[in-house]
Amino acid sequence: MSHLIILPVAIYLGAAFLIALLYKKDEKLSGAAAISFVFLSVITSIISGIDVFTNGKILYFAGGWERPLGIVLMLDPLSSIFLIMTNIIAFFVMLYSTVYMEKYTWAPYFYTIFMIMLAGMNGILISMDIFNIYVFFEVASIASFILVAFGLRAEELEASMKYTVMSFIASTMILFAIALIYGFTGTLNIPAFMSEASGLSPVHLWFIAGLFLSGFALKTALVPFHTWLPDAHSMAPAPISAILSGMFIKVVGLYVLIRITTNIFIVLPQIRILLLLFGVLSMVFGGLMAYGQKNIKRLYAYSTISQVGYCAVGLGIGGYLGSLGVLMHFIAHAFSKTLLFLNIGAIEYIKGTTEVEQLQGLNDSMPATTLFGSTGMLGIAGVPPMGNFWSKLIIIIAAVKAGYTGIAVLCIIVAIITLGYFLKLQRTVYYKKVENPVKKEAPKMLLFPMGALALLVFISGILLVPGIKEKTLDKAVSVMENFSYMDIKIGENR
Amino acid sequence: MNNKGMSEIVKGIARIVFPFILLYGLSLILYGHITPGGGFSGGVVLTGGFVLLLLAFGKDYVFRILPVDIAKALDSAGALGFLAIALLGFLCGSFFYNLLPKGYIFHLWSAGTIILSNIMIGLKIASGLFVAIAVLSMARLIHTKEGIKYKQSRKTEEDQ
Repeated sequence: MSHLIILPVAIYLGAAFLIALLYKKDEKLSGAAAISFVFLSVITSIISGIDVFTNGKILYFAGGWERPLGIVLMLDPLSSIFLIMTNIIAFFVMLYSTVYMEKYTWAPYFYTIFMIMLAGMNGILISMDIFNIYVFFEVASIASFILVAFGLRAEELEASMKYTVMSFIASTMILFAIALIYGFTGTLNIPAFMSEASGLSPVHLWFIAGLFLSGFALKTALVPFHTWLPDAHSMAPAPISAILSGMFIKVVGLYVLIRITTNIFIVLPQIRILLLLFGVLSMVFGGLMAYGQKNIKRLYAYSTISQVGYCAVGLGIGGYLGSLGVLMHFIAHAFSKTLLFLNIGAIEYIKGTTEVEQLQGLNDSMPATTLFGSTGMLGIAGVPPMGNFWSKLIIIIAAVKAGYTGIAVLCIIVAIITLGYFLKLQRTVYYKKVENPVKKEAPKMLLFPMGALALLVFISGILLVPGIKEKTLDKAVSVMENFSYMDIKIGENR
Repeated sequence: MNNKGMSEIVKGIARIVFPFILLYGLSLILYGHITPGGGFSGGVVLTGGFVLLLLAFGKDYVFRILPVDIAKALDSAGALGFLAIALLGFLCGSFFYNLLPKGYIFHLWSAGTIILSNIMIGLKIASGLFVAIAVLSMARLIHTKEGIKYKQSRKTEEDQ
């Protein structure tokens, strides 16, 4: 039963090289194979997730070697939520890209690299060893550099180059911190490191924590580390933008930041203040920058910076409400931002452009796309029935309760700014009246994932209903509040 | 054919040295669990032999010995083989479980699945790196009036 936690990584790695070996000539067959492998992972992750949510965390020893000798893998409610979300989003994106990638050559290679990226993302979520996290982080990142540049146009290559350089700066900082940890404590296993960490001098500890924090904040694209994100996320092919904005930066950045702040560096509660600062900066800056964008994909990319800022603010506030707000906001934003990027991809597929000025009055020509797009925009802006409204509300209440009234006011102002730029966009792009509209809807295979995601955006607030909340989100929040890696005893299996 | 590549002396030396490079690479891979070395370093040495041929004889000659398509297939096969060894561990209870007999220490057959893993990694690294260098060798930068342009072709100059 516990073998299930390693399977997503194994499935994705196997899928990547099987597609490269067997189906590299046939685009249809390779797409079908990719979809079925992702579906398999969705099922595995949901089954292991149910196990985790009912019986508590699972530990797994690769090669049968127990800690501190071997590599230990762990799945607990927090990582399980991220795992299930990653695979579900990847499934919709994969369905979408079977049709969308027809206009690019070499689609089988796209599936191969996509699978390697997913393997890296799943691997980060199950690791309990700091170097293991780094290895999977690099696997996922290097695959994403290639995917950003997949169209091979000059701007895409430039964006990918910028992203690569910035990302390697982050990797260097993280690797330096890992080297310091190994030098000071002689181990890379997280529980073993934590039991040694109390003997370190505060200067060393702060230096290591600072390196980790800036490295992973760079991957999360918190202001002032955000410069690569608008280029990379707006130049990539639409499915890649969707998964990068929707899941990638949250798995590679936010998840590790959550682990660092709440579970690993518990001796340094001041990290939260820094996160609060970064969060507020990126919230305000991303919102203001998004307001003036002419290109829709770039607008969405800046909006991602702004919304991830909310997550960082929630993480910085901490406590029960803050942690709940982070998780809920991450889930709701993952659904809605994926939906929006897939939506602009469908518009680009039909109209061939993403500029605001050339796209007007789409409601008459593409009604279904318009409907799904408006749902996603209202979702991110935080209009009441959607999940984002509740998550923003929770974060604001948490800020007021913790005494950060100014930050609560800023959160409300940025929420209004968000609603402002999305309404402005909707008014021109979707609902402006044009003469003689030509009705041409996107293909069904593009519409289906968008429709499913729109439904999920609409009902994602259901996770907060009493009764469901206790079984799902509360368990993950209790991991963020009370869990410490040091509680895991040697020889323990669950 | 003869006028391609470098001078006759370089070709002669390359022809003599090439088998020894391969042998050294193979020994690094096979003895990786006993002595310094292993799948990665051995694979890189193997690729080094082919790069020497590529520099001495030109790309047509090398692609006749090891076609790029076959190298691509070997690359995937190496990765899949490594994964298969890891998955075999499920038979005895754990991912990557070393289920083969361990043998005697310092003998060639002495570490269970490690030697198989090393062979698979060597295959993967050697062919993967070869493909990367082959792709680089196919690329040309052409100076035109508008600036430098990038061109990539798999055709040899004789075909054109």
